[in-house]
Amino acid sequence: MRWHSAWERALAALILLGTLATPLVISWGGQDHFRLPKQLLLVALAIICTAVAAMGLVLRKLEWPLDLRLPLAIAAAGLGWGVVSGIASTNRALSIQALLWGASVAALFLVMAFALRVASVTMLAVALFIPGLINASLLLLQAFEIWNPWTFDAGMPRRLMRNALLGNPNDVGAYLGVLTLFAIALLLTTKRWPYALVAATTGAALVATETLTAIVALSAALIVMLIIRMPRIGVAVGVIAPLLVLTALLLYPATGVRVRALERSARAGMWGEVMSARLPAFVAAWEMFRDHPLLGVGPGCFKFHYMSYYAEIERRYPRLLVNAPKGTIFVQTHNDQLQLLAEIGLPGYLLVIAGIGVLAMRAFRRSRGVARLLAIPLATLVLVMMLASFSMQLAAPVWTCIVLGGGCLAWSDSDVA
Amino acid sequence: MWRSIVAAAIALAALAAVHRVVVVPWRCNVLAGRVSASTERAWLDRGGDRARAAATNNIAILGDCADRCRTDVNLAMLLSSNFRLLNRNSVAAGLLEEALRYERRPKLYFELGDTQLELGLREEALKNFVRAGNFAGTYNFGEIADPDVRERAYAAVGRHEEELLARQGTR
Repeated sequence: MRWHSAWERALAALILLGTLATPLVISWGGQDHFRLPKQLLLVALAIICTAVAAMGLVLRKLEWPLDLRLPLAIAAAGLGWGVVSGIASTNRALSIQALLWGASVAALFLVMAFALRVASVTMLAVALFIPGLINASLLLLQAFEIWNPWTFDAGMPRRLMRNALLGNPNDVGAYLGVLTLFAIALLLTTKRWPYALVAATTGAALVATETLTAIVALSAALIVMLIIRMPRIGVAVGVIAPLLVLTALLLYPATGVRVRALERSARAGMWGEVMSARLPAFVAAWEMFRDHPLLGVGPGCFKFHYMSYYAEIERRYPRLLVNAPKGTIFVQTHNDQLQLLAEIGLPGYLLVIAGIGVLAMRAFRRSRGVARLLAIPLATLVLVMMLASFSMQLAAPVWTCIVLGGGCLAWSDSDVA
Repeated sequence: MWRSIVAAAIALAALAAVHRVVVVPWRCNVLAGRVSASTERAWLDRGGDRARAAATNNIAILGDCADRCRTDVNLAMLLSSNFRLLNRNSVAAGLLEEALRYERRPKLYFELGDTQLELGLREEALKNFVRAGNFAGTYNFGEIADPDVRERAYAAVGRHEEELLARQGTR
């Protein structure tokens, strides 16, 4: 057993503190109660952790491990490309803010991959599941209309009142999807029943959010996990499961209504409604990418160009907007993959995908721990969620994903939890 | 020795960065929350002394934040709303035009049009109402104070809708 320095333990403590606090922090009196406080906490911890790591390296109290050189190189290349794209940006002030977010996430991921060697899987599980269970329990109380701490405007759809401490059911869904996956991975590797309880609670709350993207992403990740664990059964389940999930979604009253409404809209050719009015945002992002394939329009600049591209869509592809609800302004594309292509171009997008690929490669190490079981399903979940949400721009889901991704790179073969 | 100096510099830089990119936006978010409620109340009593006093106070509270968080469009809208309560419409219009350099939303174009209308800039106002309406529809056009501009805005957005429906082959 290697002796860990006080610097390593300090970094791990900061990360565990952030893991506990990020999904819980809110600003009671602020204009933005939920998202901004979490984002600011993530950025603050990224700066502090990076500074502590840099000071430790300068003072020779820390040593950067060889096996983290590839993630470091990809993160550095990604950030370098982001800076190039930012310099060529169509709106530099917006790009500086977006780069700060990207740099914070990349730096935290690296620090986590380094510092979590000190923290066991169980320690991280506790730090993740405490706020996870608080949010899941609150959401279930809201869903069953037993108690809701927030007051809402009259006429607010019931689904939007299920927001726990994250402010929006989609944010909660993305966050709980990652936690449920981790709890199931721990259950399969350790056979300890408390993880079943956690998975059941977070999974039930996830279904109660009616967040289809997160439910589909979790289902895909679980199929991949099953294929890794039991290849033959996994493949069979991979064929049957989508049918079962669809049946379950149809049978559960709340999601059933949404699925049937989607089916009716699709039959009527109302594609704008089928895609939750997101189609114009997807097309606008694609058009931005086509106009700026190498450098993109600049980090954070999608929102600046959306209205003008919408006018262009009306002119060039009017049929895409048949029955599309009017007036939804998209600050995010609701498709992180398209937004990356639009904002930082193809090279930047490929570097982000390479970063996720590094995480998935962890599964090919010879080991039996939870990291090996979790790595590819986690990468799958992130990639699927990035197809129909902007969860990688939200602090709580992002923190949860990168802390688990960092853990997968950090934990040694003996860390079976 | 030099290692200690570099480490101390990193620590100082980190503290400065946390203050600039975390503490300031946090504080501005809290102040904006407070000012938002006060602004709403003041608009119900527009023209009254209490509304003017509240707007003056709100501008004093938010002034520093607007300088430090220039890309925060919500902050700019809140501040311009308070300048309008003091009939300082040219300042309000300037803030909204500045906000449009960072984000383009129909609400901003509508607010700018409304402010320009109060400044007597009817043609500029019409252009901005139409920009907002072509994107978001005419749901708030009833709030346009000038009947002539309102009718022309309705007509322009209506024509745009007709053209779109024709291109879609549904009309």
